[in-house]
Amino acid sequence: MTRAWSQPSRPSHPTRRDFLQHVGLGAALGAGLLALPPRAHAKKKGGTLTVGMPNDWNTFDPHNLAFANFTLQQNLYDTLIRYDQRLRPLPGLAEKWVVAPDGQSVMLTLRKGVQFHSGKALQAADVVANFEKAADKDRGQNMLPAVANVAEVTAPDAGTVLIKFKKVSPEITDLLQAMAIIEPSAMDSLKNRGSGTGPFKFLEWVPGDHTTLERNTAYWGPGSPWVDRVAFKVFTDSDAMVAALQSGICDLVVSLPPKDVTRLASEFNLVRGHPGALTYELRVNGTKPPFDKKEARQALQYAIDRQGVVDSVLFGVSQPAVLPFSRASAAYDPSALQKYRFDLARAKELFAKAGVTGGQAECLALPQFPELPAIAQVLKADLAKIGFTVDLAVLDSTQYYKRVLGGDFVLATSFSGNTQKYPSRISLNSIYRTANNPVWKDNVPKAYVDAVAEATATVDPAKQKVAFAKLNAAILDESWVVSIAYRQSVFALARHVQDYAFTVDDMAVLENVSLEK
Amino acid sequence: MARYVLLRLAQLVPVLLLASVAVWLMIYLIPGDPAISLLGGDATPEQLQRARARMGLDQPLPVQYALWLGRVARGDLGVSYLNGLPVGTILAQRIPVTAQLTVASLVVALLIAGPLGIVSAVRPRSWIARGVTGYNALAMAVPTFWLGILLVLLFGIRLKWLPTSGFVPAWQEPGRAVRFLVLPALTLGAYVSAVLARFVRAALLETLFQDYVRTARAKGVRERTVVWIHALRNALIPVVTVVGLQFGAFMGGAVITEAIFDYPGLGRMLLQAILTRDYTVVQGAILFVVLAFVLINLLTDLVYAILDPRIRYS
Repeated sequence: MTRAWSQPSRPSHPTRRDFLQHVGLGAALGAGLLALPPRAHAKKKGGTLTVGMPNDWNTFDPHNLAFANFTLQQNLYDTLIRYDQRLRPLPGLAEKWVVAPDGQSVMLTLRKGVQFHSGKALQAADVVANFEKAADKDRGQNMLPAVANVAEVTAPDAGTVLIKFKKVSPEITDLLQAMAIIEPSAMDSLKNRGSGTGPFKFLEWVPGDHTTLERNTAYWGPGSPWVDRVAFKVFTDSDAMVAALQSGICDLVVSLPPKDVTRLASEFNLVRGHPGALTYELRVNGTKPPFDKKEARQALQYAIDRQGVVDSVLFGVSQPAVLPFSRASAAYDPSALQKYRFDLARAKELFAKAGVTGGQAECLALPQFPELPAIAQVLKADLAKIGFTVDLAVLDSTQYYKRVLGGDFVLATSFSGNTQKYPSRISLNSIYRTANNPVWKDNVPKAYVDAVAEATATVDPAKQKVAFAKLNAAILDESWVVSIAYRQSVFALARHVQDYAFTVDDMAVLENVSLEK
Repeated sequence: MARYVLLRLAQLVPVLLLASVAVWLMIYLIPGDPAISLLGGDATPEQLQRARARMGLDQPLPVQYALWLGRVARGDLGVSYLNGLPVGTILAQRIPVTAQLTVASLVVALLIAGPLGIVSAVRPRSWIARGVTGYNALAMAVPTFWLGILLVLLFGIRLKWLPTSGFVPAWQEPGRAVRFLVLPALTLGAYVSAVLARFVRAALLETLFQDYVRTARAKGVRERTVVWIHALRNALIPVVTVVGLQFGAFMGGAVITEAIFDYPGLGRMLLQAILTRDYTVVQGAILFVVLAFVLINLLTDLVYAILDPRIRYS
């Protein structure tokens, strides 16, 4: 049975758009796929849960915020607060948080009785140390931009943390939800081991092969965790990972390839993750011809068969998207899907307006996410119908990111995160940065920069709504990122795996999992 | 003989040096940046620059190479750019794993090739010999990855007789290790068995028609003794050559087989290091592979001398 964190809590910022209809449908589909009988006996404790992973971690630093490390991060560390599936804040390491009326500070009351894996008690000074690390240019990793608005973090006492912001912040809960707390004494060894307060403790890591965590017997969550150990096995080949699930070597597989969903549905419990934790997109270099003309970029909005991508590349495990924001986001605009339908004639018209006839462009794609080259293939086939040639270049990740981050590309299939959080957090993705942008460098379109600034400057719901509308308009008008579809993870569980859950970021929650065999 | 061995070992140094220069140049010429592998796709230019400086990658290439060479001369292969673990530790984790698969694969190959080659040489016009010829053709034609996938589907998924992936050290749990080794060893060993079977057959056919064998038969020596004691030993020299070469090749890592069976060997590690531009790991791994090849070649030469007392090195 899937379990979504459902402890209600008063939100400390304006309520997100209610996506109950979609979540309800998703939950119903998930429950329907599971079809488990009610448990007739007490939950079993013990055993080793073996989890198949399509990638290894590249660090034990949760401030890296890479999607590839999410599963580890979720189970080794805790964050200050959590989100339920409707993005309502729930207590985490912070039991209470009070935002000042001016929105420029927040006071956290830490949960009592929490220990790091070493046995040291969690104190406010440890949280301060984590914020200091996040703000350090050498150690902050991808938390560095997230804490850019933090002016000061202090510990008035051992159980209280005061965070002051440089200017009003509507993103406070997003920041607290992203801030995983690392044991300060372990901060220098995060390349190959980790220590937090999470339900599992680090035991062993053999790079490229497996990681083993053991139960944290002093974990603050009541009764959890249930399994003695979690063994994450790395598979460089997704088919080998699926074979391991089918042969019983793995109890659970994270990120089941969409092509295997239908085939395995009768044999395993398939759980669909949060729709829109990531959004697939086409990145367009607005400084290189022919896409230095806005109309040419806008043409791509009509040239992409989003539903076709969902059906043929993602095997129906997804929904189309025109904007990067998930349906849970306050900036979600359903009308955009109606406005930007697949229309090659319209695309051709816009190309002509931009003076593009029979054009050609190279499109980069990453093979480690097979859907990205496949999406590029779909685009290539469709653009060929209107006389535009796309040359596909599939590169390994270091070459790909070197070119994409360096702006040395014309088109590139990719994805962005933070799509369900406060809308201006989209700018944490490199392609959406308002400065140091890989495409625009520091000449990012003014309308977009202004919209991001406006969205981050207010906690007034009415003003936010206006700012979000401007943000969407700017993204669509400039179209240097063409959103295609949401990425929705599918987790495959053997029948004996119970009480699996996942977060809004599609992180696997293993603290309540039990092995009923 | 001792002088010969020492001379061959001394030749290692220039060979390793040349190999390191070649690999260094090749890996650095491939576009890509280990700082990106470390920090991810949303790193800012400043973050990347600082990471490169921390890794020493902002220095000129000859300086980087000289510093690395100096450390290697002191026995320090450096640390991985990505995970900070000493390269020596990483290699020490992977080499025994690959060695286990290599030995198992060659044992499988020899267990198949030996009897097949001998029978087809002793009875060259029998239906058994024709069958062996068919097996050889099939085993050499079937792609290794295809065979591996078939074995996984049949024995791992359909019949659930054997595990489809993973590694258990034979020196800790020999029984379990064998179960995990069967499928990958069969996959790798099948092709080699066909090659070896042909060599055994050809070499044995040649020795069986030698004068000394005719003399042994004329003296009334049993046929079994003629084949196994007199002929086979001399037929083994080309077989030892192939086994030695294959041993070296397998120690370099059977990447595809390791991927199919999720086998944490040297090949998979090396491929991942290349893809992430983990230069120090690539350098260390290549040095080991070159070393392994040279030492295995030396060992093969020494085995020749054991098999054929007429062979002497000076």
